[in-house]
Amino acid sequence: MTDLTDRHAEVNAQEATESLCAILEMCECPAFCVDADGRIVGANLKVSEELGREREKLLGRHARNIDPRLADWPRFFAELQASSHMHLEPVFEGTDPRVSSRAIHARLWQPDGRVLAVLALKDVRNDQSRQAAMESRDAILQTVSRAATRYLADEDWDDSCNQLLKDLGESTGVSRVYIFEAHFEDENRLLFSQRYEWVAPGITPEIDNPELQNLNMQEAGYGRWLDLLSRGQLVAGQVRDFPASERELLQSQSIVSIAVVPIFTGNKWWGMMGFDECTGPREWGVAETEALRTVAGLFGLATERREVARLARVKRDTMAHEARLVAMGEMASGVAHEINQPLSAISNYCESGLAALHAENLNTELFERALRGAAAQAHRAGEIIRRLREFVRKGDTTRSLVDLNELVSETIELVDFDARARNVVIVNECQGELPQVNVCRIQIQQVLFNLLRNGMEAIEENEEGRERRIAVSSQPSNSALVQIDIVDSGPGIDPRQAAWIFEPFESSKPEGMGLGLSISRSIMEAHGGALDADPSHERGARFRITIPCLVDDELH
Amino acid sequence: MTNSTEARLVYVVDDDRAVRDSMLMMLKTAGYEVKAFASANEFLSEWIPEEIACLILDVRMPGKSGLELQDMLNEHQHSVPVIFVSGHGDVPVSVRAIKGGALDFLEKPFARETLLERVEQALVIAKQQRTRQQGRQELIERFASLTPREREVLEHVVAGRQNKEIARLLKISYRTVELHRTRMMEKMSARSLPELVAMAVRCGIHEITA
Repeated sequence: MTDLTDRHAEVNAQEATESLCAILEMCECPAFCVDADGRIVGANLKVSEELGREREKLLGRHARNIDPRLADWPRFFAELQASSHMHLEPVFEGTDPRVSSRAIHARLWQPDGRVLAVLALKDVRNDQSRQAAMESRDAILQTVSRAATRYLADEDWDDSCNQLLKDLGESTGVSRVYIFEAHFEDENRLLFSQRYEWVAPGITPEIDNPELQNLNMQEAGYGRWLDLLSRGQLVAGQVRDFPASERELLQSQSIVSIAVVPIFTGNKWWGMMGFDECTGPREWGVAETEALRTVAGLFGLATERREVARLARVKRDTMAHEARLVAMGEMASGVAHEINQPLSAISNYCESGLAALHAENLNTELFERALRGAAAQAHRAGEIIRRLREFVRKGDTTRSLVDLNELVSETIELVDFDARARNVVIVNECQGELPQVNVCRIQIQQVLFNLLRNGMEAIEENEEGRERRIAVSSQPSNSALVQIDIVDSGPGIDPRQAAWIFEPFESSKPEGMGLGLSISRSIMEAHGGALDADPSHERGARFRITIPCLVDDELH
Repeated sequence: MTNSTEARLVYVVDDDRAVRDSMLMMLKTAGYEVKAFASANEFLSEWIPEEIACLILDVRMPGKSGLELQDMLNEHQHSVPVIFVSGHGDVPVSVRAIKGGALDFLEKPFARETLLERVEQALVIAKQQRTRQQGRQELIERFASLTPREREVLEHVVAGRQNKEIARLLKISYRTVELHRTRMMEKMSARSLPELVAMAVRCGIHEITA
């Protein structure tokens, strides 16, 4: 049973709806009215034509039934109440044609004490400005695809960034393109610093502007930016329309129009990429800003990838260093023996010298020979220690130009005493000149060291009378690669083991950690080279490492 | 440093050139004659077993190790006193070396005095060994001068048999045995039966005649 006053109110509401619809009918485009709760309270007939649904069936339903962008109505309505005007651009990437082809214009309307939103749909499919937006977007995306190729090539990072900004600047035609990185000063103070910048000819660069280093955006009056950017949204527009607090710093850089997109690495807000226009007002179309977002996304991915690669490198370097320490530990008794030899010779020379000194007639020639001998042996001991210390030195992963033949000789010297103790002869068959390579000296030495020790350990299993020999040879394998072969006269690689010898923690030696070959291979791969075993070698095992060499123009 | 031992020859085998050279200098300044070699095989090709000498041997060497050389010398009953030197205070190795008859096992670096003392000791031993060996050689020569019959008599005498029993076993007269025995004792320069038995043991006549 319905109360009379209720019925009265119902009649009133219906009348209000009808009058609302009549007003909306005057609009040239599809238009509708939504109340504070998101319910559709009026619509013109163009809406039902556009949607193919009867107007009466739309009334009273939620606004999302007309456009999915209105699904979060409370937020939309709140923003509308704050600014009284709203404009939603079409989102081209959306699969929903309602979203990809329509812009929404909204404004607040407050007839007879009610607060309503009036929304108009605008089809932009045949819009000329859309055409221009698409062209600009394509230009940016082309830049993106070129940049992506470059990032994947993993060339010099700074060069890549600068090139990316230049390409973006040229394809968008703006005055400046730049990247800021976010960083924390202490736990709570979020600061921003400009890292890279490109400027168009005639535009003042800001890369050296101290105000743009360690910038506290909150304190500088950019709280609104922080809020938008941290939520993944962009800041774009004419500087003259910005709040006064934001204008000063921007205008001091002669910025007339600006667009800033956030950069995320994974879920972490890494920083932002900005585009300044200093020569005049510039509108930032949605197509264009979406493309800028894509660029920022790509940059974020590249940064993330670079960080992952850096961590992997740190891990590999640490493991390599630990493996060298382990190897040294295993060789400790041999090292002691090796250092004992010159010490023992020094002792002998000195005692001989003393004996000569105390003899009836001082034999000066002999005395001098004793001193010279002692000095030379002291140098030798120092040299052994230097070699060992260099080998276990931590963190030195810088690359330098290396003569591989020389490195092979040095490494053979490093394991020589071990070889003598194991009664193995290492023959250095490296001859002639090799093109230089740009490598981390210690790590390549470690690979050679591992292979030589593996060879010696394999030879331990030889039956009596079988040759105990390792041969090392090198040659350019083609114009771009140098190869070094290490061939031992051991029992060879069991074909059943060949598949997993490079796997970490797989070792055929009971006391081995099984890291030597896996670390060696990862070192070679990090150098753009390779480490392979040839199990089919007739006698013993053959390991081959290949390293890319420098082509002439890289040398300069 | 010089003392009464006339034998002054020391062999040094060490693969480390500096260790070898410095050891050579040290021994030469002490008045020894030194022959130094880088490997066991080099030593073997130059070594004259008849010389009175001692051997300073490095344990670890490419090719034949010091221990292997020691084994080889022992197998051929070449008695040359060996002093091992090693950069390793490796207990099992040193035990093996000493069991193999080494005079000492010195850890590098060693004091000059220690080495020279050992070398002196080693040369004394070498000389004694030589004298003993020479004695044995002489006995073997005396033994070789015996006629087959005299040898037979010697064997039986050493085995403790009486002349009568020997005569029966050899199917000859008691008198003939007496004659052979007198001549044999003369040729062997043995003044008594115990002396003859001692000689027989020393030069291993049992083994020779077996």
